[in-house]
Amino acid sequence: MACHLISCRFLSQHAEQFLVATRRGAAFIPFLVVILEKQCSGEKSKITVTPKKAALTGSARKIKDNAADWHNLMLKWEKTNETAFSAASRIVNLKISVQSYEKMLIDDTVTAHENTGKDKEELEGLCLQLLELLEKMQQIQLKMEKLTSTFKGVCDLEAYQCSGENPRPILFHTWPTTLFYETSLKMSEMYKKEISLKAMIVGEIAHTSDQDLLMVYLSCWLYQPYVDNSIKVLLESMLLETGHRPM
Amino acid sequence: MTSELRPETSSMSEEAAVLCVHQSLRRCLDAIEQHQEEWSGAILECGPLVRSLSNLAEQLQSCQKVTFSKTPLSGFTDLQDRLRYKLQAAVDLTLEKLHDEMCKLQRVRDSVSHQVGLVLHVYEVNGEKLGLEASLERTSHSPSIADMLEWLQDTEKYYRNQYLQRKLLLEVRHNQLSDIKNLVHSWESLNDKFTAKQHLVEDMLLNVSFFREATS
Repeated sequence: MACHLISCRFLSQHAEQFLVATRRGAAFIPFLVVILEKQCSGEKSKITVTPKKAALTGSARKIKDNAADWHNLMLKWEKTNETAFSAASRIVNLKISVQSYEKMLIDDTVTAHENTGKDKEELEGLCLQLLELLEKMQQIQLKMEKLTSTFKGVCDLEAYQCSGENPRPILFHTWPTTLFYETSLKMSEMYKKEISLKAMIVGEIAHTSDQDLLMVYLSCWLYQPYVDNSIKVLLESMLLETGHRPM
Repeated sequence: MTSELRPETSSMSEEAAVLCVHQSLRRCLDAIEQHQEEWSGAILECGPLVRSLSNLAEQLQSCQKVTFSKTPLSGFTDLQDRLRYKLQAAVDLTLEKLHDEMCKLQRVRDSVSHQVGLVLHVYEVNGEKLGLEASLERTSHSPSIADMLEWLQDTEKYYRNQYLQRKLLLEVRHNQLSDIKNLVHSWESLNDKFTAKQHLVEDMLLNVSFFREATS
């Protein structure tokens, strides 16, 4: 170790001569040359010599990837939710216009029947579209649950490895591994409840004539009452902890 | 009588006074032109916000009217409260954005009041030297000082009234949902009601465009 230190000091003192010599001789390990070059110009360009942290492996790698997956899944969810909302609101508008048309028929204000068949077709098309989008969202929600179970797996593995006296490691900055699982579970539960609400709405939206209830369905779809506002903080904290967001 | 005794000095000082008032008028009009742009920009931004506020009130009303336990939503016990909370939060956010726009309107109102006050002060200081005739005199390209001062006062009053009425409209309470729902009509009627006066500032700026060019 002492020898190594001395050689290092020696190298940095005579770095420039070494570089010239090695370039001439061209028989030096390229890695060392890089270090020496940095040492020579280090003062001026302030290049940080600290090598980039080694690529993550094992549990840390898995957790970091999972955090990124959470972020992407939530974006996907929001996007699908918006498309589904526009389909749902078109269904509601169609329902209301059909209702007022039927009322006019009863009142004998209109007599024509041409549009009803067309409206029904359109309604069916929209319902099918909404159903497809719901399935897509259900898949996203299942993936979220899978992420949570992966976190659980990582925690279990750590518990197994650290059974006994061994202290549990902190993989990133401050979070213990269990906190990732708890956070993920919290988020996952929100989406689970939300998807069950959405499934119910999809089943009922085309069969309700009460306009207030239709309005409630639409508000529920858009404002997602079971997805708390805190979810953004949870996600961002996870991204910050795993290094996806700069400190 | 003194003007007869010293005609040259009198006309000199009158000219200087006219110039002084003209310049101060021009500065004020320049500022108003810029403020008018800010004003109409902010009013334009408010439109969609007020509409979404009305829409949110309608959703809140429906949320209150529906008896959740008698609908297919009965399985979701805390849904009504959760939905109301989310909708209220959206109302708050929209009101906050509207408040930002109102701040812009307030800034325009205050600045215009200040500028017009300055012009009137300059006029008062130079009032004696100016004389009545010079104040009323107008040419083909320049309105009289008296006219311009009147227009400025009208403009100031317009901004003041508009701001106050809009501000009062937005003083809504969460439980007065029907008021919030009707807000969009009252807000737009404020535009309509003033359509004749809406161009008040623009018209004034057109009337003084030659004057501004000549004095710049």
